[in-house]
Amino acid sequence: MLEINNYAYAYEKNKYILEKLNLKVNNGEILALVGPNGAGKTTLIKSLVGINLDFEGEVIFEQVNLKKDDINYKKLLGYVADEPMLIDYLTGRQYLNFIADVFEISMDDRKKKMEKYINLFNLQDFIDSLINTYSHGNKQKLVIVAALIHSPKLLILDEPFVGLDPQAIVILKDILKDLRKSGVIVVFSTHLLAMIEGLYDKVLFMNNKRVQLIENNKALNLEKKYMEFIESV
Amino acid sequence: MFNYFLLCYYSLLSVYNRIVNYDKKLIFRLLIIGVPVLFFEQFLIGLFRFLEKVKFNVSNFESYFWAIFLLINIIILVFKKKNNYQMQITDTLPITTSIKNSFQITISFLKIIVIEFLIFFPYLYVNWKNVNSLGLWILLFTMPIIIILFKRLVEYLNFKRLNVVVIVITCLLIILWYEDILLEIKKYFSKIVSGELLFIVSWVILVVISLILLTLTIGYNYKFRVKTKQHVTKKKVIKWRKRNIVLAINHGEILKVRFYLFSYIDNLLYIFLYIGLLYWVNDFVKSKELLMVVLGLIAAMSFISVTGIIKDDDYNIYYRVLPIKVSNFVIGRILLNGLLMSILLVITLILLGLFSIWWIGIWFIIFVTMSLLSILIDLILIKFKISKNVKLQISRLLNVLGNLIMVMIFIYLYYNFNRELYLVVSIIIFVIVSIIEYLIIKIVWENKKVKL
Repeated sequence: MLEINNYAYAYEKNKYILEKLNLKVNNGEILALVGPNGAGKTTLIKSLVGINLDFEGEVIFEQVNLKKDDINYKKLLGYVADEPMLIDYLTGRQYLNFIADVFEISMDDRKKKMEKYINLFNLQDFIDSLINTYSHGNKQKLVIVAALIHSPKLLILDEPFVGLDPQAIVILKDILKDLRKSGVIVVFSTHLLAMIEGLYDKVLFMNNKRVQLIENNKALNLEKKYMEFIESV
Repeated sequence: MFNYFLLCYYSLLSVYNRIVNYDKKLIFRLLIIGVPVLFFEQFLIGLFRFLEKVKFNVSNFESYFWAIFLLINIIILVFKKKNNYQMQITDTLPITTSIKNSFQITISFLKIIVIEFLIFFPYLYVNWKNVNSLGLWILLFTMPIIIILFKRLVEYLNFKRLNVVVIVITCLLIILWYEDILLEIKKYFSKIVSGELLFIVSWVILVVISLILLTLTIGYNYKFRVKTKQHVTKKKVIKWRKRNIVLAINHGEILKVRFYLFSYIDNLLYIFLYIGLLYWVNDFVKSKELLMVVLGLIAAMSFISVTGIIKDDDYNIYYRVLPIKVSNFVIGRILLNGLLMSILLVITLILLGLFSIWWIGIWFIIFVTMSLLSILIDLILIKFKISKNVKLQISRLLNVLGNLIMVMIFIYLYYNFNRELYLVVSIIIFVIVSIIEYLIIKIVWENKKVKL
């Protein structure tokens, strides 16, 4: 279970971008963060992955407190940033090996997973080229593969569909659904409501310091709910 | 520790890939750092020799040299923009902060060592067996540690720039004292053991000391970074916002001034570098060190290529992204060249009259001719509206060729003319290029439709 307790974040003293956020996500659930630009989605995500650790409150996953034991927390985590963060002068395969080495994945295991995801995302022709020659979409695919290669228990993705081709979007959605079935918690952000169709158990609307958590149900009209939320802020 | 070696391994792999795949950016960055400072070193040596010739008492030449060198190093490092790009990647990986910081320190250390080797190469080539170079070896290995520690201290104390200057001066005084101590140690040991043995022993000792200091530095670094991280980040955010506002209000006006200033500094750098070039070639041709002449030619060509690249970067980054008319900058640069040359003319004449220094003419010719070439390239590019990539290649090629010709002319003149004739030729060429320069400035200034 992922617990976010009394979370608040301020870039400057007393200038909060998010306040008093409490949230629980159960294993095998997908949480979508939805809001306009500047709503604090990336800020929250950067806290959840341990980049911005100077937040108020606490983040706990599987009884591991992020602030107190970030190393063990990160061992369970897979992260896809909004801008692909890669080492430009490694080849795709070298980068994946770097990640696999950090997570101490056995050679057999990494080989299987690398081949599986490389084929799935059609990266075969690029994987042995330097990353700086990749298109934005291929970089994004590589980052996603790197996030999946160590079989994370918590997968956090910041605007993961941006830059992906339609086929890759479908593949990624299928992967996220499979991960949900295997008990992985997935948190992802988007500013496009259409992208989360059939892909969330909970959705967190965010805008101007305010948040609203909505549970998925068949009768839910998400667009209407979202507009009501935006207008009420 | 395993993760530390992993980071080092993959970083080295990354550098290896860049070299194998001929990453121009990396090569030119090395040249940008290495070659100009190499010339600057020669300029300093030449300057001190010159001061000695005119009876200015420079008792401890090396101390001054190292002090100035250190000053440059500190300024570069203190004010250099931090690149935490790769560290962001590791931020989300299960790697401890101390390992990441140790890695970063190691990389900084190696960078400084590489840069210092680039800078000291000619000195080492000539003096490697000399006992006097003990101080150099010690400095070579301990200086990165001192610089890194100093940088961390500045970060930790969060000094403003003015205070940094005060610290730099204090630091210089300490280093001067440090150099004196080294000289004493060297004197003491040279009585006991032979020069070559001392050289080898000093290497071993220095490596051990460096490793100990490195370990200590890692410890200090860890404490400093954890304490200051949040504060520095916030300050940078505020500073960035203020800068954006200023840029928006002035809509380019301030930028223009800034560009002219860049241009001015750029030209000053040219002067320093050409003086250095002259001294360098002069010294080694005299002593018939053919290898050094060849190296000089290569370095000179590389330098000119680099200046070409710097200019191209100006076009790409500043000209295209920001709200400023390109023609203003081009004209401004040409005018500043003209102004600077006028000042140089006065200085040249004074020096010629006072000291009868024959060589002053030749570097001036090189400088003026190169500026002229640079302006001509600008004008050709403007006139024919040549595409960005072609521009880059033409600019590089012309710069390299131009510099090669200049150096060859210099060597030819040196061997084939007597000094008086040399001086006369220098002045004649200077007058001719000045007239051409003036005409070009006039033409460009009057042509209001200049566009890039």
